[in-house]
Formats: sequence, structure tokens, C-alpha cells
Amino acid sequence: MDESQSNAVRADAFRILAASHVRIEPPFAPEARGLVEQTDLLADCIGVQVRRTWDACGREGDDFVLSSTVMSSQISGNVAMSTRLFDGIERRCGRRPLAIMDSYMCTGWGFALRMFANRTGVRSATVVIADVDVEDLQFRRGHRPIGHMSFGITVAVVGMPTQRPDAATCDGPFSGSAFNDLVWAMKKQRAQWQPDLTLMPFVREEMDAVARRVIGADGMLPNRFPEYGHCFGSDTWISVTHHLIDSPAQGSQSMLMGAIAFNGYYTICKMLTDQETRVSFDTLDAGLPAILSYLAGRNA
Amino acid sequence: MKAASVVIAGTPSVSARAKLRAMPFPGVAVKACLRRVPLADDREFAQIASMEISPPEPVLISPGQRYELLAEIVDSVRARIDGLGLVIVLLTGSEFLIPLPASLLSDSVALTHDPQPLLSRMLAEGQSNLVCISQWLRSDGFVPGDNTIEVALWAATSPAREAFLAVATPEGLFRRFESLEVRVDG
Repeated sequence: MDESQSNAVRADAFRILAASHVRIEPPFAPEARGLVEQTDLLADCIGVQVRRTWDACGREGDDFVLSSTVMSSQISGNVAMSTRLFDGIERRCGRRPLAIMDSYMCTGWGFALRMFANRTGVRSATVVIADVDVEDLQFRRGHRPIGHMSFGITVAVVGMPTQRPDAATCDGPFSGSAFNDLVWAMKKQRAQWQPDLTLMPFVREEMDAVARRVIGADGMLPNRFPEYGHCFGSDTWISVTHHLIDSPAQGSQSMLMGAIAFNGYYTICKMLTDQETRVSFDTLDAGLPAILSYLAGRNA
Repeated sequence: MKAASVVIAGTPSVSARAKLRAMPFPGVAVKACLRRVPLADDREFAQIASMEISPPEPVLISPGQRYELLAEIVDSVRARIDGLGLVIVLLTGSEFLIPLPASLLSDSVALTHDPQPLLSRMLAEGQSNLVCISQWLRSDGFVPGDNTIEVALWAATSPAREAFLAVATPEGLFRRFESLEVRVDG
């Protein structure tokens, strides 16, 4: 790709300023006295992570939204509880989220970025992917078509592209899980955009094999399903963090990031990272002592 | 669980409210959308049981019907109002294996648990002709609601305001609501 093509790539891509993931082993705060206390702790965890991620990249005051697949309807569908969640987040990071966008499931971050890019004039935005199962239902840890699943919180701080309408693609509904539709769309976009790297959701190995055969395995980051299982909307963000921790970017790298919602939607976003991109990955035992220690900054 | 209620600061250019008092798709057989949640033990059964609700509203729709009603309203305002901005819809959670219709996944729609902050953000940017759909439609599962819906147009241009008034009628936007309690403000 010559320099003019490279500049064109940069113009229609989001820039990842920072990405952090905290993997949270269930059950979440089992010592807590009910949903209210769990919600307060969840708000603390989100707010602290947002603040630390903003501090890491020197960016403050972004508009931000929450996306989720497993957020309890007792929180997102209840004004008192969602207000309590937002109050707690604001106390910890100094800003209040604009929305919980949990109807898009695992693709919520892509729909949120599309909204920021295409419908606002903001220069950067933060998307929080909060998948913590406060109800601790066993079926959410493993699901027949999906396989085993992991929980956690991702905070992604993203600069907006210059050519805004071209950066995020969201489509659906498709029959089935939209995985096949994502694979074909990724193949097409990859041929057109020629990214350095391709990032797909964590899926069963047989599905991943199909994706690698159709899209092409070169430049595709590892499928971490054997290690983590499916991590809802966080999959590709975990890939980014691991990639940059293992191989810190020396220059700009272009990435095509894809995600599916098993209800039949997909999102594909064009991304750039560079040597300024800040990433972190931590694992948190979600017992109350470990959470309190994490909030106090004594680990993770 | 308490039903969501939303109070948006300020006054919309024009708004209309309706209430569902009868089945919106009379005479149509509806496939049951509910799934059995694979609960593991007594604690999980108790957890889910605590979420059960018994709202007094007699009309109960399926999650798919709720999506269909919202998509119809989005399509109607989009078709009738030129220069429409973002349509912000109060919708939380997801129904596994019941996909959202394409209209609700569109670039011109944002689904959120509370329209107010997003609306305020868009208004602060000087955007016009923004629509908020706040709905409390009771549906199968754990979705409470008093079966009311409000459609409001904010920062409206004069042509958009007129177009909204023309479509927000018992025969138009609210035809599934059997012309119930339609009120126009502003």
C-alpha cells in the first residue's frame, strides 16, 4: 500500500487511544447484601476503570456510553437502579454516561461508535462494555451454541475518524447468529481496506477455522476461545490489548474489528493503533475483598 | 420491578401520547416467544421468581410484537417527516433469539435505557427534528409497563412540526393503539 492509500486508510478509521480489560471471575461480590450493594460495587468497578483508562491516555471528559449483553434488566430497566449505577460511576470517574445501550447485545460497542461518528460532532468517545453477571446464573457461564463464557469490563477510548460515515458498519438482522454474514462482510472489507490485522470474536474452534479459511488467516489475531471462551462484546478488545502488550506498536497499525450478536447482527469497525495507544489487561477475583482491594488500587 | 419512567427536561416542540387498551394485532395468531430459562438450583429459581411482576394492565404483547410496534412508528415518522434527525427509542435489554427489526438497527435510530441524556447531547449540538419514543409497553417475560407510549419531536422546524401533527393521529402513528388517549402538546 503506498502512502496516499495509507493516508486514506487513516481518514476513515477510528483511532484507539486506550483500551483496558478487567476480566472478572464470577460470582460477582457474593458477599454483598443483594442487588443494590452489587450495583454499587459494579458502578465503582466501572468508574474506577474508566478513570484509570482516561488517566493512562491523558484523555478526560469524553462522552461515554455503556453497552452490555448480560446486564441485569433489574438495573438497565429500572430507573432507580440505573440512576444509582450512573451516580456511582460519576462519583468514581467524574463523568456521567449518556446511555446504557444493551439491546444490541455483543455488537453494542459498534452501534455506539457508529452513533458517535455519524450523529455527533465529538472528537473522541468512550465505550464501556460491562458484562458482569450480578445474578450469577449458571447458564450464562456456558451455552450450547456458544460454549463457555467469561465476564469482565472493557473500557475503550476512541478518537473519531475524519471520514466519519465509513468507519463503522452495522447490519442485521440476519437469520441465525450472523456469523456467516460477518465472515463474508469481513472478507469483502478486508480486500477493500487491506488492514494490517483482522480481529474476530472468540468462537468455537470449528467456527474459527471456517472464518480463517474464508477471510484468510494471515494477519488474523489468535482466537482466544480456548483460553477465555466467548467474552461477549469484549472479544476483539481483549485481542487488541494482548496484541499490544505482546508486541507494542512501533508505528500505526490498521485493524478491522468484527463482532456478532447471536440474535443476528454484526458490526465491523476500522481501527488504528499507534505507539501512543495505551492498553492493559487484568484479572480480578470477584470476591468482595479482592474488589475492595482493586478499588483501592492495591492490585490489578 | 418498577417500570421505567422518563422525564425529559424542557419542552418538546410537539408530542403525542397513546395507550394500548386492546390487542394491537387482533385476529392474528402469535407464536409464543418465551423460552425456558435453564435454571440450575433453588437459588436461581428464587432469583428469577423475585423478578416476576403482575402489572394490572390487561393487554400483554409478545417481545416480537413490541419490536414490531416500535418499528412501525419509526418507519412512519421517517417516511412522513422530511429532514428527521436521530430517533431515540427507550428500549432496554434483549430477548435472546428474537431479533430486532432492521428499522430499529438503522443508523438513524439509537436504542437506550433513557432517552434524556442522549437527547440533551444532541440538542446541545444544535441538532433539529429529533424524535424521542418513550414506551412502557408490557410484554411477556419480565418487562413491566402501563402500556403507554409517547412520541415527541424536539427542536422541530416548522414543516417537521406540521408533518408530525399530520401523522400523529389515531389513523396514522397510533393505529395499533385504537385511537386511545392521543394528546398533542405544544
